[in-house]
Amino acid sequence: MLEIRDLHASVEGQAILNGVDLSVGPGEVHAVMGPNGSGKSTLSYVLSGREGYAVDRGEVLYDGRDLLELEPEERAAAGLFLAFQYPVEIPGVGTMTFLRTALNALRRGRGEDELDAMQFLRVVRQKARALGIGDDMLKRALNVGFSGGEKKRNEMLQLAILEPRLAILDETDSGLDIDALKVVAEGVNALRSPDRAMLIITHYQRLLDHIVPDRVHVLAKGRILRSGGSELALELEEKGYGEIMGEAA
Amino acid sequence: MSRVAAETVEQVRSLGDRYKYGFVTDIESEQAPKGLNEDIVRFISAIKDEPEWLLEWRLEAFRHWQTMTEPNWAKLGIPMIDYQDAYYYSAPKQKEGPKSLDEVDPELLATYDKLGIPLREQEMLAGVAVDAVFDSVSVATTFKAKLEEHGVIFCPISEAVQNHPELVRKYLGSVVPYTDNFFATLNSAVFTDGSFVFVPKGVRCPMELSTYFRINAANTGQFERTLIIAEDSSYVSYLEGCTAPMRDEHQLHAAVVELVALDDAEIKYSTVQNWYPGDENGVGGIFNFVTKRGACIGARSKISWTQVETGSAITWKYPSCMLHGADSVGEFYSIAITNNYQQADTGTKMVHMGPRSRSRVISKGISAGRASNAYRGLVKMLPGAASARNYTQCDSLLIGSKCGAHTFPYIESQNRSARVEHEATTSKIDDDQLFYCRQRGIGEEEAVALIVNGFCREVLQQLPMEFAVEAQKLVGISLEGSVG
Amino acid sequence: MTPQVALPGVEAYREAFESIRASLPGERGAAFEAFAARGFPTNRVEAWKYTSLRPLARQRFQPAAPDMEAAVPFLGDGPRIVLVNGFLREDLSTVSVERWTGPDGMAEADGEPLVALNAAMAGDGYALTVGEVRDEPIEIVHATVPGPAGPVAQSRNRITVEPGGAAHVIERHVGLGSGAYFVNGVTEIEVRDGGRLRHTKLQDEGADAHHLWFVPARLGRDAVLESTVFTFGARLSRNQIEADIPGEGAELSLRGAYAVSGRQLADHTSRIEHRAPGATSRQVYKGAIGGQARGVFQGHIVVAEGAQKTDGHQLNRALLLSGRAEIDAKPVLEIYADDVQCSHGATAGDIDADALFYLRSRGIPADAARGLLVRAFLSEILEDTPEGALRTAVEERIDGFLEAGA
Repeated sequence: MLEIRDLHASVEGQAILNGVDLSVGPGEVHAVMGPNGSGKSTLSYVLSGREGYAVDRGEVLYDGRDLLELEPEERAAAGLFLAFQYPVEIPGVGTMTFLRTALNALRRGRGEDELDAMQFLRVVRQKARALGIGDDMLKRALNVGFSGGEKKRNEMLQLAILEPRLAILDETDSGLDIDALKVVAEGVNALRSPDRAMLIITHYQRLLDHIVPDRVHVLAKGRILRSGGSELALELEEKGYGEIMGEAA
Repeated sequence: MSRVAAETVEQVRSLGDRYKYGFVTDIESEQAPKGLNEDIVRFISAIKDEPEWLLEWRLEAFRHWQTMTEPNWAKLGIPMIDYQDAYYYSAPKQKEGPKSLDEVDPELLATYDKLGIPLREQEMLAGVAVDAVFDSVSVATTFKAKLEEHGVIFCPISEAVQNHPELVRKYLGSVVPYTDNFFATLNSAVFTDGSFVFVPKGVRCPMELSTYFRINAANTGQFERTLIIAEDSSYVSYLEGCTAPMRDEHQLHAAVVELVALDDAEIKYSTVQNWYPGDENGVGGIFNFVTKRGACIGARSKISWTQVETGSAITWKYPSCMLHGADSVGEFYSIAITNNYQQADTGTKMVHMGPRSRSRVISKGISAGRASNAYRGLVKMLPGAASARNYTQCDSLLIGSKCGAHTFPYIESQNRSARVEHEATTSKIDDDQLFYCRQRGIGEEEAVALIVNGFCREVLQQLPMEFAVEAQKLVGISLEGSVG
Repeated sequence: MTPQVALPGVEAYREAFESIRASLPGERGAAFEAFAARGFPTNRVEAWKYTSLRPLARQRFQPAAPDMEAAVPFLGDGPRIVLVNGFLREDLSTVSVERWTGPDGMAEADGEPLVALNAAMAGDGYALTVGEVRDEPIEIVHATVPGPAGPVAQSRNRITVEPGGAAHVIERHVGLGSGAYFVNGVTEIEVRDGGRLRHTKLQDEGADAHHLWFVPARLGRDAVLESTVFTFGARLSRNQIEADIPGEGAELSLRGAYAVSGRQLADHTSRIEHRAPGATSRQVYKGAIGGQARGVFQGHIVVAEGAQKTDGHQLNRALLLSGRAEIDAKPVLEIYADDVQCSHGATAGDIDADALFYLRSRGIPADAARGLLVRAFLSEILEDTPEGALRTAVEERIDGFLEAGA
């Protein structure tokens, strides 16, 4: 489903990714782990098409299409979703208005009818309840005045509503206490399905206790240094990045 | 990026199509000869069968106007206007004023349908009383009978001159004297029609009152004059909408609006101004030079202006409040959007005279393309304004690197117990917000409209429901072609 | 362009100009005509809307005499430059500087009539060049001796900081004795690439003085200019700074504190033109206004097309301490680039009633409490002034203002 080949990327002329290779198949959950500054967030921004991230070499195929050619909204329409590490606040724009605009844009892209206000409300209420999101949060402006945990849950709500085919979760566990982490993990697990892939980007292993990945990759110095099964995450937790990076070097 | 750029070019090219009110109604009209002189002023007065005092007032205004020069202080580049090259009176040919909608020319009703203001439906369903002004004259006022039951007078001002001369004579020019400024003085000399509203003591006007202005004929100026009087403890909400056909020449709109609020009265005045802005190269469009002023004469009176300004090639407009009354309240909520070559210079004056008077100014300016958008405002605390308060917030948003956004506030306080607070910010549309929306699948233009609507929310909320929805759409339409 | 009827004051100045013309270096005729064409601005001129010079135009002044005997007070024993009546006094100075030799500087391009008058009649001034890092502040005293003829002192000065140079310059303006006089001066400031200048002005003119000072400033790449003005004296004063920022990454800070009472008028006018990307400007002006005094603040930020990533903020706050005090403020933003962060804020009003009540409830008498709050209000501008003679001088003037019962 996702094929990253020899991906080199830079920000403001500084090379961050130095040849990433990664392959994710349908239904698979992959974790990308790495120390601070290893290029984890850059990878997620390059995949989602943020401006300012220049691809210097390599390619990314998504269902066989060249992903890098597409505008951010076209990638979203093709089923790619990025759960932001720092969800953006947009004053004055109601959470519901935003969700509905996004969902209808995707539905239009898929040739489906747009949902009317009532149908939409039903969908949102049901999914919000599962994530412990109350109506009061939905009534507020998008992410404005939300706590760190509320913002992350709002990302999960969007994930549930937009039903992407490839979800990239960028440091979704940061800023969450253990209860919130469980709620988020349950939400993610509920969305696991044979035709949906996930890429979980994280610094710590703790999220992977709750969302067990099929594959774990260690990203450091802009390259995948090691790959393995879920046991690799435990090993990392035990030994730390230093040792693994030392081994690989 | 390249694909979007191509789309944008396409959009810019097709911009002409997006002003959906740009059609011309093929209707025979009656016009005064081109040009401006005392005879034209007499002609307008005579055709309306006006009393002598009003003709005299017009002539005094005209003579005064001849001594004045056009202002050039606003931050606008203005092509010279030839005042002799315009028609000052144009009316659709009708035998007499219509008694009901059944007598209105079907062409005209169709025009208003096309504008999204089906007069019949409004009468039947919406419960909004409408006065429709076509070029120089009022063509239909709906809901008159129901309003009369409550003692509310809502009619064309020309009719009020005939039927309620004492009210017109008492209040006309009482807030905006004919000597006020170049365009108000011109209006005083040649105004042709407009709306008149009188809400008697203690009456809460049972429905929203609304006027739609439409400039149709070529080379005409529109000079309407609106006068609203709210007696003690009364309330009225008034809406105003404007459109014009697409023409290559500029057309002049120089209206005057006067509001008078007596003790405990409240007037809410909302405008959605969508005059033809000219094409993407800045050809054509309306010059919108309007004087709007309200006098809070009475204690605890309140005047609230809300405006959404998206149209016109050039807008000069400063809806103001003269806060005479103790504890009186003035409000100004504004959204001004300029795109392509549009220029807007708008703001307000809050002049505090009464003790404990309060005012609030919220202005949102959005500038895109090669447009220029300026806020110009005055907050003045006179010695009598003990414990008066003002809060002003002006925010500007820039879309693209060729446009300009400017803020010119004047703050004058002569009372120590008065408190004035002013804040202004200018920034561009936030890249993070834009990317977040796009990552969720929302296209760039839609994302911009969404974010801008959020930026304007505080003002949009002030509009009556039906208008708010229309205004929200207008925000998106006005910014089409602005990104890429 | 010659006006049909001479503007008020112009003819008297023409006479005075002709009387000294032969003694002035350089050709001055064009500069005088530039002044004569516009005369003294009144409030019909937008830039002078709140500060009319009509009354000043009606007063008669004679060019001030050089070489006056003068006992000039100093802040300390550090390096200093002294000017009396607008003339550089090498006998009283300890820093050797060049003399100004005629109109050729930045101020000439400006359209202000008073700057043109200065260009026509200024007879002297200092030109200080800083090429290295100077640790000790340089004190520059502009002293004027009032006299029966009501002297007008006009000097033209220039501070240049070369790349790698850094200095702190303190300019003090004082009147020696009582009586009317008129000071119309210019200090050009140029901070070249990477240079740093701290410029502090203490305006402490006599009660009957008129003080107009114009500061054109230019900042090169990564240059830093921190300018602070303290205004206490003069019947009417205007400190006008026009900063041009053609240098990328430059940093400009303008701060001002003023305390005026009686019938004083204190005008602080600034215009900052950001012409290069990535520059920063900060402005904070705070004033305490008592009696029938008036404060005027006009702040204008221009961001030219292409000056992306400009960060420009200005704040003006005024305390009105009496029923007849007045503040007029006009903070303008004029922006032609989209990727900018610009803002302004302005407030006007009396001392915060809650704060006053809080202090009084703790047993502090009302007058003392008001004094405390006014000092606290102005102290923000003094923050980065280290303990020492300058700080003490400013604090004493604030105390004097409060004791006089503003």
